[in-house]
Amino acid sequence: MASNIRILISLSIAFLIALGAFSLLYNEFPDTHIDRKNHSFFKEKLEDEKIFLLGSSHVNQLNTTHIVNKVFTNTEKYTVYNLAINADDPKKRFEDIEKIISLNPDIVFYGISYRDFSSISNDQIQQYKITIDINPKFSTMQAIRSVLTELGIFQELKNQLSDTNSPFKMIGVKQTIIETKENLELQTKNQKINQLTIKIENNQQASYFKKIISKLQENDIKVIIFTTPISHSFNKEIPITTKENFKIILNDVTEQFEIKMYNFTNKYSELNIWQNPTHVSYNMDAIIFSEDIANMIIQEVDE
Amino acid sequence: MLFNSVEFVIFFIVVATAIVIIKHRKFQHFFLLGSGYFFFYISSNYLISLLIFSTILDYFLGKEIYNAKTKTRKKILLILSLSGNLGLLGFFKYSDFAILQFNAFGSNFNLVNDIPLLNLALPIGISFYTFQTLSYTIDIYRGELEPSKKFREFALFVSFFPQLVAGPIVRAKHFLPQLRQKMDNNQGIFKIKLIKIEKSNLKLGITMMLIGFLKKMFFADNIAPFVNEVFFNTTNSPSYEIWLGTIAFGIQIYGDFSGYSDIAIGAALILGFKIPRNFNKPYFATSPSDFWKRWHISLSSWLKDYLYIPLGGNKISRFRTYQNLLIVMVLGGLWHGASINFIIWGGLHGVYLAIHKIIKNTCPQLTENSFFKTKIGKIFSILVTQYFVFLAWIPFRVHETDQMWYAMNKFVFFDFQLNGLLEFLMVHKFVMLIIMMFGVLHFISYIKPDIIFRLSNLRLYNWTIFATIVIILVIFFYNGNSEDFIYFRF
Repeated sequence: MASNIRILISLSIAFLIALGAFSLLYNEFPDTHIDRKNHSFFKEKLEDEKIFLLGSSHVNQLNTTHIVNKVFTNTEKYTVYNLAINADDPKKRFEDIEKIISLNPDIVFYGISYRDFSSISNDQIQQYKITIDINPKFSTMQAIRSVLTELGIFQELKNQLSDTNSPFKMIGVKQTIIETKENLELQTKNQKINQLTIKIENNQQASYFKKIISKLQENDIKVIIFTTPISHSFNKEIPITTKENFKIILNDVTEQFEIKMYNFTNKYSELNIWQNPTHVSYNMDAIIFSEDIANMIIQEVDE
Repeated sequence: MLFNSVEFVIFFIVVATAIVIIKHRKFQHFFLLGSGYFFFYISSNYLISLLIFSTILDYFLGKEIYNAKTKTRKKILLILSLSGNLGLLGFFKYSDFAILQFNAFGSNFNLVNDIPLLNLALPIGISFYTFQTLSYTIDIYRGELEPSKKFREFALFVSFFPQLVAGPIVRAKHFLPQLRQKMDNNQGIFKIKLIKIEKSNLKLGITMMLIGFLKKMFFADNIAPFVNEVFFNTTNSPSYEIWLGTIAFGIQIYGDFSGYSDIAIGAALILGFKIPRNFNKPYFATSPSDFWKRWHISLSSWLKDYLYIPLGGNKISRFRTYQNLLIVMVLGGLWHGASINFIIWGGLHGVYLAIHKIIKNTCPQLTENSFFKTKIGKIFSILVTQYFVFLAWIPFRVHETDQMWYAMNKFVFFDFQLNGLLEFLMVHKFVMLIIMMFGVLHFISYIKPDIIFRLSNLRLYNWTIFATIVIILVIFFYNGNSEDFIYFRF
């Protein structure tokens, strides 16, 4: 019996060490999924007249400094905040929508991409399942990357770039690269874009997207949506049904909520401005996307 | 309830603690029986009724077979048991598959072709517990086993939770005697042994469970997204992608299933029950027959004892032996699921076994050649065997027929389109690292076959370090959404 207790104590110690080590790591490299809920941005005092940009990494690639300056110069009143988060989707965004509403923005511009509606829905909540709402692997990989960056093996985190009014932005030198067409083709192929599917029926992400818009409108916040751009290589590979279903969902949303939509999907597909097949580079040579977003905001403010 | 879930860990701790507290054998048995039913109910809900039906049917038929005076009556009762169990299995698992084939046949010959599908829910673990209860009645029929005297003993054998839903397939003749193990109470009276958590079993059991969690949650779960990506659509994929995807799937399914088996064996061992091992370094098999002595051992030995040997085994003509190998492996494939893919997978293994036997029979000088006894010869045998084993994983994994043929074609006829290889490896560098780690660990376990015993025999201080490392790997690389065990579907 005593030996058994010693074994169990040893096992408990092993657990405690592992969990302790993980909590230290997690403290240093929190999962963004959790971090967003308690982010200091939501406690800040912001300007009175404000506009929010929401979306995922596609919106994160915008040059917010350029947009903030241009919009403020033209409107003399509005401050733009880019709240895009890498790997965001409507379901995740819905979790902090109340916090966003509490900051009382005047207009929300929501950038939406194919990926937002393509994730596999998990409507069937498993009975008795205890869910752990964190992703330890994310934190571990962040820590590994950080160590490799310190050693100079990775460059993107070491050369972290900052941008105005972009509290969730994580962007590095890598995001400023403009890829060649050949590399874009190769990347598209490796990402297996031809497998990207969007379903219309029971699309969980689409229903969260609608819930977000509904909540914003209930709080008298004007909502404008815009589709984020894709490169030629990506456009070429994406299945037609995926494109059609994406369009159907967006048309349904715009009609149901009577909101305006700007379509940037294929606007820059032939231009040499791409960091990868779905992301415009964070580079002054690719400023056209940020410029157009600024113009879109100005136009909507004028209206 | 999955083994790789918090609720299982809590459940297991509760069960093990209760077993220590309960000091009466009968109540221990009742408690384990209740735990098994609870475990199964959580996973399968009302389909637990099938498990109970199967248990009652075979308990009474087992007794009747044993008591039957004539061979004919024994045979009739055995047929009743076979039809009851296989009937349920067939109805729930294969009826839609049969309807689909019937409709396809009908449309080809302008016959009835619109029989609606039944869309039945597949009861979890039905393939496993059906084979377990069948082994019970068959062994009694053969005179190799006495029927269980108590219903609770037999019910506990069928519903013992560690191996209930995904094996290993335990035989009654291995399990029941463990329930009846007796001990002397020093007064000359022999009493049935209490279930006790022994020190050696506890440490070895925890070690096995840790290894199982590592295989499943670190290796299989971290490789799974890569495999899904490669095999979601193989159209236009170059050979290197198919090769890497196939190798990754081979590791994933091994990590997944052998990980489950290790957790099951470890959990049973902690509770004082020995379950035979299910895997023995299968990717170091030197021939197809060697592979089946190392992969899913409980199923392959079941098929051998209850199907291959009754069909005549290798005691009949050579042609019939080859035919039997093919039949057994096709049925073994079909056991995994109602799909052409599993038939192809089983069929391929049947062909491998038959060809290997043909070579052994017709060219004994080749198989006995001293070259195959050298290190290089052994490596050569392993590589050739694994080439065919991994080729067969493609139909197991890729369910779209045209994509399956495409992938197999690319696997066999390497296209040497390597221009995107470096980029592909860079994109998936983490998975490649895990694959390499698996290779190293699998090799270590091959050259040191008793590695788990060695680990469990480490001094407590070192053992704690080992446990910490494993737990760190499992926790740190858990992505918050573990994949279901592949063999739960069977």
